[in-house]
Amino acid sequence: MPSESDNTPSTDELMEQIRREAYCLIRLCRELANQIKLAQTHLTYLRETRQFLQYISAALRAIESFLINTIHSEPEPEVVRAKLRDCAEIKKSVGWLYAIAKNAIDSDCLSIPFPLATYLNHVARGFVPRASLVVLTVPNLNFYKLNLRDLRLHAKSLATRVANYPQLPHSLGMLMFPYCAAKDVLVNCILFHEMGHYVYETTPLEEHLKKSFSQEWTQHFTQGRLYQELQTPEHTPLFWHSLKRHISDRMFLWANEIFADLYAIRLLGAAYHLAYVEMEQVLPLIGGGSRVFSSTHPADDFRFKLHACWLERDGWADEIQRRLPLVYKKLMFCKGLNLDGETFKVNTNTPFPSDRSDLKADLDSWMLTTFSSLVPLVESQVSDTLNGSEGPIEDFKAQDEAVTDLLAHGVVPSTVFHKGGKRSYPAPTTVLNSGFFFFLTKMDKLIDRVQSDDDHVEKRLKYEGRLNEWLSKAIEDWHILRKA
Amino acid sequence: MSVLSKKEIVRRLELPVSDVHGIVITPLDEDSMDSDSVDLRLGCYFRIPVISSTPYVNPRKHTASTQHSSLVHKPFRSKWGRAPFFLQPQHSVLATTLEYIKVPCDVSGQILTKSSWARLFVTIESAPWIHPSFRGCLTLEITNLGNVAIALPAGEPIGQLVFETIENLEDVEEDIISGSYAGAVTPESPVFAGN
Repeated sequence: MPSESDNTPSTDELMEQIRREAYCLIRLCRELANQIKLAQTHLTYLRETRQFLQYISAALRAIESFLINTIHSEPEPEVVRAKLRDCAEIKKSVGWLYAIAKNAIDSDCLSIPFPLATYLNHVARGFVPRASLVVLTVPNLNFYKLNLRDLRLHAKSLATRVANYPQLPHSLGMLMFPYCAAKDVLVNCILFHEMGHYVYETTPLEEHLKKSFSQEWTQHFTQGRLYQELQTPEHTPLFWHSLKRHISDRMFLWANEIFADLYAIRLLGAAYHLAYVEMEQVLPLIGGGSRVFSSTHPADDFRFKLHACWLERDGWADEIQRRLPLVYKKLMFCKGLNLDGETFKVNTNTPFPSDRSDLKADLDSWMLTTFSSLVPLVESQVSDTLNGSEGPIEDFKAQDEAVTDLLAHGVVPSTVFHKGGKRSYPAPTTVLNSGFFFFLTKMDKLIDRVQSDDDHVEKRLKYEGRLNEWLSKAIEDWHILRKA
Repeated sequence: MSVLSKKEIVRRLELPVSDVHGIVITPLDEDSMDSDSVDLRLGCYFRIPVISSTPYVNPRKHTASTQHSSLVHKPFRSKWGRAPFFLQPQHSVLATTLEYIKVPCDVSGQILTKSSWARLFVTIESAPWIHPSFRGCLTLEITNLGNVAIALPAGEPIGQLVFETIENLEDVEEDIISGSYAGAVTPESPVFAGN
């Protein structure tokens, strides 16, 4: 029988293994760098995406140099194991770069809602200096903001070993959208919500929430029946720590969603809510229904309750009521709902021992009540964040009629001509809101004007596409006119 | 037939969009109007012919529609930072005007190459006539007849639009949208009757 020590690889063997890995990684890095170069030769990208591709290329170059040095080196035996660890870290990094580079390569100007992405960057710079929002396609039928926190930490740690390894820019944000939705500027209004997640990270909200949550925990949870019930010897400090962590994580994630929702409503208006409802038409029901809080998202009906309050506060509710009575009715119904364990449910895996699942309903109820007490904090943070920025309702009220008229006549609504030679240029938010209302209520007016042999369905689908093109062009024109 | 003057173009620009005699040009450059024409700028979208495995193009068959060209986007940038489209010698490309146009019901339009471009052996149109009531970004068939490649920056004035009134026209009361390319904002693949 060979002894254990016979199995331990020698320094030379370890170095051989490291070199083999290094060659494989170099080949991968070079191929990836070539793909990026090739794509940039043929395709045009949003400036922020181009910068991000440059970042990936720089990271790949740094990794390659490091690996080439490693191949050439003859390290001391005690350093060899550290080299192996470095290689493991590099593999992680290459894996991430490999995956995200594909999203970025696929997200050229024609594959993303380009004018909207440019506008989002313009708006984001009002909140975050040098904001850089990269809008990328994903295969899922979903919108989300990629969480870069871990990747930032990883890049930071890698930079201590790999010379010239670039840091992820602090102001970088990645907004992901379904790859087939590039031309649908209306559904892409959801990106305002994703931008809200990006802005959330720059606010001190999570700190405030942590403080308030701890107070709630100490003042209410530890005084309640549930706490007393669970005060048994088998519930160790570790159990209490994980329970508290479980609850607080849910609260902060829900708060993040609410912040992003209200941010989008304040910044864009009704179009965000309408886009949300529109997106729901194609999504399978997630998490058990509209009254269920999942581990990451508050229940739809609760979100709609807050949408209703903020749409009312900002003057959008009347506009919705006039045009879309059913949407208004649903909003007002949700507005009347109470956030309690009777009305809403929580669908999460609670870290209770299996024999105490009877306590879950009590815990859910406590979580909902506590979250309800945190919501005003979120609301005031949204107000503080957007303090001073103009709401979209005024421009909408001034231009909506003209924009609607232009759309009904098949015209891009970027310039409104008035008598006496005066011209006005509707803001992109007005274009999106008027466009959405038009899409939901007045498409027939446009289609009636179209003379064609196509049947109604074909005509409608063609002109729904046209409408999105006109709205997109109007936003693009707004940028051009702004530059002029 | 008579050519619309600047004064008449401005008057028609101020008519409401519902008026069938109104003109729309957006985004309109303040300095783009001449006494009898409007300068139009090159848009951001180009459609280039591609090398395809399709053995031939038959306009009567589906092969004519999308398989032999692809769309390219060159975003509009500030005046000094444009990323132009380069058109090789003896090559053609489809492009659009930056301006979206609505032509009145009693007027036809004609787009002409701006003379400075013509002197570079560039032509922008082989189908320059625009029918009454048409709306959309105008499609340009740009050909480089010279012997060196030429840069085509989005936003550059490239054509002149002339409006001409039609005589003895029947009364038009309603604004009708018709035609396969009505409302287009990018250069679209051809649509032939029967496809």
